[in-house]
Amino acid sequence: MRFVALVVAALIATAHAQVTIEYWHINSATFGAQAVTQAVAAFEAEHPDIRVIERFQEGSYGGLLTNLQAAIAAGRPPAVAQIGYNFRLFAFNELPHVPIDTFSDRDDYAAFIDAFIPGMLRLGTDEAGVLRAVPFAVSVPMLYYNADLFREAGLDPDAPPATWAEVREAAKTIREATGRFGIGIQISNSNNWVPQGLIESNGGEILDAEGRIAVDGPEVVEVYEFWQALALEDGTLPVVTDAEQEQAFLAGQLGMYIRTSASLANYTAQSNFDMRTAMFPTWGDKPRSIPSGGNALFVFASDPAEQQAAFEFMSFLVSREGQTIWVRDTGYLPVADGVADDPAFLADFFAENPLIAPAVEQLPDAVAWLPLPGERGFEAEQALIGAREAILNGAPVAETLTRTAAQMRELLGQ
Amino acid sequence: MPRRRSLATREALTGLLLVLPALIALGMFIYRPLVDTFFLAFSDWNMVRSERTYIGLANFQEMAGSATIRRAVVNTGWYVVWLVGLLIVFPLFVSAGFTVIGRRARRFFSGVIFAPMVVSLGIASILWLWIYNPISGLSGAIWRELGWTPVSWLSNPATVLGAIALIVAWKAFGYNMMLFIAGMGTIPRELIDAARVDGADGPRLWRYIVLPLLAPTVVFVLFATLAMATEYVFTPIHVLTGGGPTDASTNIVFEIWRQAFRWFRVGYASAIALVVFAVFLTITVVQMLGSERVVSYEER
Repeated sequence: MRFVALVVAALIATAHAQVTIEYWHINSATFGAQAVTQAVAAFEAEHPDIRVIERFQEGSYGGLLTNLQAAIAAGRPPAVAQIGYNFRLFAFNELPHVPIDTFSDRDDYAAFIDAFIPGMLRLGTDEAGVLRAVPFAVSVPMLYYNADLFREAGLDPDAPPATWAEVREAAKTIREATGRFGIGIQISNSNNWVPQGLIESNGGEILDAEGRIAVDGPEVVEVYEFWQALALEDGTLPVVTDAEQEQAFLAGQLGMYIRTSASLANYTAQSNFDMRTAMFPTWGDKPRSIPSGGNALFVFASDPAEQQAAFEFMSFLVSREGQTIWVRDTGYLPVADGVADDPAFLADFFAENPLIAPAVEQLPDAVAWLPLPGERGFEAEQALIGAREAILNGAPVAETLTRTAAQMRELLGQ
Repeated sequence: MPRRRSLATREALTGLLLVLPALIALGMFIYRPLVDTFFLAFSDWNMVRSERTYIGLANFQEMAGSATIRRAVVNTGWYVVWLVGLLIVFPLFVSAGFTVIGRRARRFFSGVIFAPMVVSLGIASILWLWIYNPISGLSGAIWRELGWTPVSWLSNPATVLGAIALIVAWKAFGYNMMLFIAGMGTIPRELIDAARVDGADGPRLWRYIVLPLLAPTVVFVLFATLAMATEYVFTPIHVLTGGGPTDASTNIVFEIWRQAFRWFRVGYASAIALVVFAVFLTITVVQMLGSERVVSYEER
């Protein structure tokens, strides 16, 4: 009798204490899944009262958002989900979420806020200054290169190109000496992440200061003319899908590849050549400006206990311990202040992995990844993608961009 | 008499009871969404916002003037052309060849040809990426071996649609061929022998005996192919090209999906879906009315 009572009491106690939350992420087996599993295990060990079910979502941030939309419509959203920075305006305005400010009455809130690298929280803050999401993953595009091909072509692998003019020359040399393609640039058929970096580093803008579409500006035309010249004039840039460029680079068939730093851990494991990295090239002396890719964590839980559990979980993910797991197994950059120099956490990792150094070094040049505003913003984004595709297939650059700009302005109601 | 009627009533009730589960499922998963789609087509909604705005015919007006939709419709037509060639004409020839080879060879080749059918389209798309890749893929290697410049199948507007169609054709080819072989198996041997005696040679034998008798199978396969050109191609488009380059590989179903789930214009997407539904309904009705004439074994 006493035993039964004990068991019942224990059951009631666990039933009370156990909170289960769902966490949606885009980290596939080759893109950080291990880091997610590890972080969840470490978190659950520290918080036996919270169980985290992590669910991978197909199709990157767009795919996750599609599924999230359906889950919200069905009334069963996950407690926490990664929202790509390019979708944050949409999420701020359209998705019913729990702003992070809501948790400000917690005792640990001030410490939570203070732990971030200064300025980082901007990525989760709306125009009115309300902190709505937790900046979690930050990546920047950088230059990956095949040092073996550099040597084969007679280039110095210790002096990688720093400007686009140098990239062009190196790519030509590689093409002539080895017959391989020289340079690939990460592209997507749903966003303009790297193109934004190329444009803004050249002093151009997708949206000008007044928020008007400016992709017909001379600096933008210059960027796309250069891109087209690499592909069609020099024949050093293959006009292929991004998956094909990636296959080619990892197979040792592509000399240089502009790609997110978040692929570093995977590429290091998969490449069987002397792979190295360098900073995102600049246009001559113009300052570098690169969009920070990645995602912020949004809370969608409606149950108060789940909301608090979600906050605990997010606090862990951005803590020094959580960040150490995350950065180590991905190539994302830390959002927590000091963790990179802390010998108890990432200092050794950064010292032993010089390949991540260029990404860290150019972090001060990172700017917000620009979502286009308005209901038709995604379509405007697609128009610019279409322009790139047309240009790389030989369409006249200035004309194409003029037409695209008009189309984008119409979509944004300008 | 009244007893009989009550028996009939009872039978009807039992019948109704037996089909009820199926009716409920159909109602919930097919007809209710269909009705929803109808109402959504006249509204502006992003699936998460609580209010739907009634906007009358605006979605349909926009559709009529949209270059993207026009492109998607034209592309869908081209997918049909490609797939009719690859999945009807070509398998017909191959299955004709099957009639002249030995039984053991037939068994071997049907296994080989049918195998891709069990591969999911998503996997097939990734597999073909390794073939299409002009830099490190199989086609690139072959092209270089032949001294040609490798082709960027998936990034060239001129080749991408055919490349996508080929993936679907590769998968469905064996299935269609089995159907044709089975259809040919039902043609009475005596008819063919009699035609031969009457002096019908290869092409004429086909024109006047085999094809007319195979008509039911061909019509069935044709409709399955129409469905593939609209629905099946979605997966390789989604996995490999996202509709690009510059909308060269998009089709109408991909456009509906993109509007609804990438650009969150559920109302507009519903309007497109409704028009597609109406078109297919018309085709189906016409086919049902016409099929009795085409698929006849008599006369002619």
